[in-house]
Amino acid sequence: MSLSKIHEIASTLENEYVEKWRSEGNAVVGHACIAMPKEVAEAVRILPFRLRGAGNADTSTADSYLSRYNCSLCRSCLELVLNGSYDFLDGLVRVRGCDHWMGTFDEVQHAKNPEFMHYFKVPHLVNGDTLEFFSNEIKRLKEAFENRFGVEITEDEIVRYAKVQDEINEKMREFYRLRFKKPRFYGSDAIAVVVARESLPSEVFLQLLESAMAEKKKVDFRAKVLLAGSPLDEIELIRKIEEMGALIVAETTCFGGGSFWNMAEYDGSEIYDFLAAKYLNNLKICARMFGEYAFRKNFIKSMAVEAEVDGVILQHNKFCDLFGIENAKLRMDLEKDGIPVLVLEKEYASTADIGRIKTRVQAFLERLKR
Amino acid sequence: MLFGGTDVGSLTAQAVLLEDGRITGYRNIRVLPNPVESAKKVMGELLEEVGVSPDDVVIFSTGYGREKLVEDGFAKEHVSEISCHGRGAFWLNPAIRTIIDIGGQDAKVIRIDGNGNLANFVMNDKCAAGTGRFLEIQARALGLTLDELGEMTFKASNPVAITARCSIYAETEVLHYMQRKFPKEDIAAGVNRSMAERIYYLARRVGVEREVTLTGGVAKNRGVKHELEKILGVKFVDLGVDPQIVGALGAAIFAMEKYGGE
Repeated sequence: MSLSKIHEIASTLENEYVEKWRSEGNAVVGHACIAMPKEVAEAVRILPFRLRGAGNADTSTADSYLSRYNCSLCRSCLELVLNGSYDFLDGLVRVRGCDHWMGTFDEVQHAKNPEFMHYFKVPHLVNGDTLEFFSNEIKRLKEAFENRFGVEITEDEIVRYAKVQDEINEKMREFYRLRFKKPRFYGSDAIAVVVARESLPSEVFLQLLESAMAEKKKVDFRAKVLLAGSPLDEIELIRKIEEMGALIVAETTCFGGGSFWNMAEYDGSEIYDFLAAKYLNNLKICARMFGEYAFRKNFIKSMAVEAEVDGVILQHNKFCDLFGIENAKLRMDLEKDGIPVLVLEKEYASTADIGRIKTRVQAFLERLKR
Repeated sequence: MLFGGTDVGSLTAQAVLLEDGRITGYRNIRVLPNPVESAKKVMGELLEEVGVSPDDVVIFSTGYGREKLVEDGFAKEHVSEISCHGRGAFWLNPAIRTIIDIGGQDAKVIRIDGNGNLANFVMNDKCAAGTGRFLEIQARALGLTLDELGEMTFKASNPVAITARCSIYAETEVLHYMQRKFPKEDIAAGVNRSMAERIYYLARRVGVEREVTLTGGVAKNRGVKHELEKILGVKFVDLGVDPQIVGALGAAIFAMEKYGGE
């Protein structure tokens, strides 16, 4: 029953575990990027809660702040902040993920003026200079938490939680491999698992994951597909795609395999330098990072090979500058390497758009002769 | 045994009947608000015209509402319109390798292999640019029918440049040129050329292999067809049928291939 509990958590925002966490006097801080070092927050019982659209397609209020030319995932998240759905958060950590996210946080600041809004500066390049800079930024994040919440974060505690994250990452890889060769879970299950991880205290999540992994299923499909592109937490969309027979067996997205697959394990080195390298190197999966196109392409290719997929779906929300541009290039390169590709441009959580998406997926399956 | 195909688009719906490997009839109507009703109406009228009972026909559906028609028991199976356009065009001319299909809301570039199977395809993004709707909007702004718009390409001396990719902003450009008293022929020719450019960008994503044909309602716009041939450097192969029925024909062919041996 753990898998159904995970789905329940993924379909709500303030879940029962968050309520309990808060009732025990602990804080919850929202963020929107996988560059957020979870262990720094968790070391003082601050729960890092990742912002998501949770399938909300109504952006009527958010559209007065942002425009219809902004990413619909960002508008969806802003709507949820504005309508109070994220009022359980004790503060926010903002990252310049892309300009749409930047604008979203600007509008959150303007409309809600949260007591705690820390600008966590994440470099766009990975080299010696930026790693040193980022190591200091993580220290600044720690200090911001200490100042706001009146706590002291020790390096020993951060190390302890880094090891917890290692354990979860390894368990997640094990779970993902249950979807590769002979799939025993649906892609909609996997996205729910990743979303739940971003919404729960680590110890709770680890327990749920371990028992969910025992709930293997018989999975029907016509073709195995890898999903790549922009952030996607739309479990209902994945379900619709899978109902047609295109089983998502792996993702390289940041609400999927990209959030943990390449995360390094703690090696005993100086903790802030280690975290800087761990999170910045993993962030190469995001098109915001300069000069890392080859990394992303190879990540998709290696996962496609390991998961033995028949094709790749590259998706992005309309007006997503980063992945909209990168998907054109990826499509050409992957096709050149013999991997069939479908590019899907969509609006976040738009149920009215499903017919258009289904036509493309059906044709893609026909192309794959499945 | 007869085999039928229905194809419902955003503006028109078609039905085709095949018997003994040849087209025995086809019909093309304006759509009703409900795509399932459109398919039933167009096929019903065609069956009545040729005097055949629906029970004697194996129907495959494509286009809008294709799944619902199978659920209703009206169609035996459904196939995507992409595969159907590919198969229909290949059946009419086995030399075809690329099909450019431009309908009311969709534009597709379809590549097929030497067996008529779908090899690759690309469709328009979530935008009306490069679809029949784009032409409708500009024709209305110019006060022309779609047929008149197409013919203007051959009357223009200096087509204007329409630079906006968005259909609404392109309309703003059309209105701007009209206010500045540019000749209507030149503005209309500019619209047709800009439409061709939009399709060209799409086609480049999957490449264009000869022979190439143009299907869908926009294939009837001589101006766009001419501009597209120029920009792609190809001469479209005429399939010898109404270019709007190729999807429905493809569906009927899939039905014939699957159930013809029974």
